[in-house]
Amino acid sequence: MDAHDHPEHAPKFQAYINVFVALMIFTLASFGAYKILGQGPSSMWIILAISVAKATLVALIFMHLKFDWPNLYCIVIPVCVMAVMVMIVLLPDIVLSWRQ
Amino acid sequence: MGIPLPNGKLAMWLFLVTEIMFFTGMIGVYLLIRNGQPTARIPWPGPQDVHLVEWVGALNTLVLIVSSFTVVFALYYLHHNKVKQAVQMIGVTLGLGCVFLIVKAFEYKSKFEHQILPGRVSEKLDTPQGVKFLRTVEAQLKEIVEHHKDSKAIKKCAELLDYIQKSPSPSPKAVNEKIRGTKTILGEDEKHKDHIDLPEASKKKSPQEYTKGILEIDEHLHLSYSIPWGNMWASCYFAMTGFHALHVFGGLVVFVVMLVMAYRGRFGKQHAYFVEYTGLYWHFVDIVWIFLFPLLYLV
Repeated sequence: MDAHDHPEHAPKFQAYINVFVALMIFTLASFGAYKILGQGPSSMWIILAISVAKATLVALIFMHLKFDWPNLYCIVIPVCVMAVMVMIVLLPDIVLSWRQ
Repeated sequence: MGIPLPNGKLAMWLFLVTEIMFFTGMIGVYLLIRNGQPTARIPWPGPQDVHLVEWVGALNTLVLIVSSFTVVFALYYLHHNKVKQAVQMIGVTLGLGCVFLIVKAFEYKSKFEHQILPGRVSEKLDTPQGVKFLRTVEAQLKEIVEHHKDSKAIKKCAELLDYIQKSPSPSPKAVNEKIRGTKTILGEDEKHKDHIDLPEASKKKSPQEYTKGILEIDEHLHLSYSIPWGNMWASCYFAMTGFHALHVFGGLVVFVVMLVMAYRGRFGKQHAYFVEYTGLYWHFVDIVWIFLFPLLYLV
């Protein structure tokens, strides 16, 4: 077994439980925000922020990115930049042209 | 000298970054589409317009989160040489994945029953689509009148069928209004007062004059109605959730392989890598759903 994959280099089990509880609470919070505030701009930003927080927790702890990031940033960051570029490139035709 | 990671983990991450491109491309285009042509006057369909039940989406989110946790559990047990418990956790993960797909199947069934499918939704009723809409509703009403006699809205259905069949030129917009009700179409604040699919008479109504639609009396009836942007919504919905469900299914196949190996006594601590890399994939599928759930059901 490679040293990098040894369990000592993974998060402590308590961290997994904490993240799991946080994910459950966040899911109920986003549903609650929708129920209380309804569908609209006010609830949208809260719900999307919660989603980003949930995804970050899963990636950092469950997927061990917190520990593997120094080895993986070189392939993850370019892809994320390209994904955002796709949206920026399409923005003028699909969104902005209809707003004029 | 390369990246100090096991080859398997690096390969899985290279695969996952292609998956990031795939799903962010799709989700990104969905965001652009729903923020492009739809306006405040003719908005993008809300969950109620397309028979999406929010709590069902939340339930499926919780199911996937628990399944992510059970994969973590399985890996933890394998690292501590507790193979039996690890196999049990993989079995639980498989079960939860199946629950997710079953719930999704029921949701798809609802879409098929209500004809909320790409290219099948009536949008602008003052075009030839309106005639097609009338034929579809007529067939659905005949089915209801013949086989759902205990429905609370049976009288209204019979009246509407009579109107479509006997009126010399039935109005698709009036039929749409009788199905959904003027309050649903206009909204509490009458923000859609100039809605493209409303007959002129409806636009002058005050809130006190709202008439109840058939689906407001019995929401379980399978009746089509006009959904502006409905076809685009359906295309986006089926593309995103369909590809996500395929990924869930792919993960389940791998979990079945693990269980078969365990059944044959060929599964042990040496397969911790196998569980870890499959877990990476499964967590990624979870992250995709973490974004799909709010974007489709809540926002």
